[in-house]
Amino acid sequence: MTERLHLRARVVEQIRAFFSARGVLETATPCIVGAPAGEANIESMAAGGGWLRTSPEFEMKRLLAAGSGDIWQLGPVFRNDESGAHHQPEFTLLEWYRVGLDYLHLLDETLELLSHVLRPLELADTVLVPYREAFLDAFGMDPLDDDGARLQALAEKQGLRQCCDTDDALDFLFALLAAKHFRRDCLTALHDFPVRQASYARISEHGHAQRFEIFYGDIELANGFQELTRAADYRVRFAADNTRRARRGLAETTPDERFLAALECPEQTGLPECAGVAAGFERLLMCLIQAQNITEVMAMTET
Amino acid sequence: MANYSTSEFRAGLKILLNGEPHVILVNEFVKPGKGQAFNRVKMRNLLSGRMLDKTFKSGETAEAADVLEIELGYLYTDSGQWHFMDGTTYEQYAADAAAMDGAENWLREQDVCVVTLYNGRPIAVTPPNFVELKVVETDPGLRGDTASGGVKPAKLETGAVVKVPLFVEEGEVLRVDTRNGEYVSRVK
Repeated sequence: MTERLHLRARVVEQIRAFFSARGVLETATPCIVGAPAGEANIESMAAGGGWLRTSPEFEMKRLLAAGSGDIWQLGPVFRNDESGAHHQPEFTLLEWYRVGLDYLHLLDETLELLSHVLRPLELADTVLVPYREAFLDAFGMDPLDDDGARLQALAEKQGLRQCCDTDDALDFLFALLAAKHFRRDCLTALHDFPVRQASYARISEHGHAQRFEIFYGDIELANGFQELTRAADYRVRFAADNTRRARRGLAETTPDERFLAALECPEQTGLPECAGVAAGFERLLMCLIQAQNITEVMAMTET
Repeated sequence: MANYSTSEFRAGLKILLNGEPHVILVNEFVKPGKGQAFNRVKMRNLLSGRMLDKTFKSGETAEAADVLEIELGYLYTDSGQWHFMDGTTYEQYAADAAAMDGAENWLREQDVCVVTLYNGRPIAVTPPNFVELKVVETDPGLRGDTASGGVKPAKLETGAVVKVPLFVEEGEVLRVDTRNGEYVSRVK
């Protein structure tokens, strides 16, 4: 029991020292926020006349729009209906934004931090691989294949009971099957995702989403993005999220108008060019002690 | 029948898949941070015994299978049917050879078994883990030889043949593990 408390405290110290040395400012933003998550696969919980945040993303981006410069935050986030060996409805997210840094440099920085924290595991060199290449290696099929039917058929053949769309197929094939083969003696970093898996990442001129994801074995540790900077671009993504939500029978969510206003106010020109990343803090602790269940690294769980 | 959502999935739950009853053995929640949530489910087909891995999208539902496990007393067998009775309701059930799947090797009249009913019909019969049965046929025993470790076949009153130590004699009662068909000990 006391071991896990000390482990957590030690890693928080390491993270704080890491950002302090780089001049990245620690911040705190509200846990109760005005708008629910808009994403197709993340559900917010209502609380206190608002919503419990599922990540500090939009509040931190408001700080960025207001000229905060580089910022980081470690704090609790809440996601409804997420409970399993690697999930708890309440967990701790480490999120940071670097102004003027592009996503691949942020990937390097993230690997530096993760490797530093995971030093006791004596990991081999990180495997860096484009998403498309990793997918081709695993399935011999192109994830950018326009014919989604082929990907869906593959997913069903591999054991997905009912595949409704290409995104389901990609999520299933990648996270449940391909990731199973990622090495356990090093970090695996995927970059440049299919546009349909962009989330809020910028799309490159080569037609891929400027997004990266870092795994230890099949445990997902971090997701990073070249951030969209203009409110209009976010509005388009929010609308697309709602279309997907509607198709899945989920409630439409209202866009975070405070966030959009922060980007649109006359003296602002949107977000500064920046890259941001979020990492599951408990997952890091799990890797450190090779835990099978996330509750092994939490002081206690109440639900 | 009722439906179960993936959030209600747990080991032991019986669901219908492709029209056949399955029992859930392992249910695992898996979700990419930005992606769809899934339940990876390991289950066993209760009719064929085959293991199956299926992944459900979280939030999907599966129809509950009308599967019930009850204790029934064994009555008798005739023309490929084994008859059982519920000791409280006196209701009778007949199991076929597929449902018995070897259980008949261990049953004497009156013995109580766990019978799995699917839509009211027996699909599996589980005898008690240990049964005590009389030896009706075996080669003459080697009296005093309790250490050589040799074995010989012995036919039991139910017709089952088990390997027993050389000292076992006809007429003795043996304790047998029905799960692996192995001799455990003599019963005095």
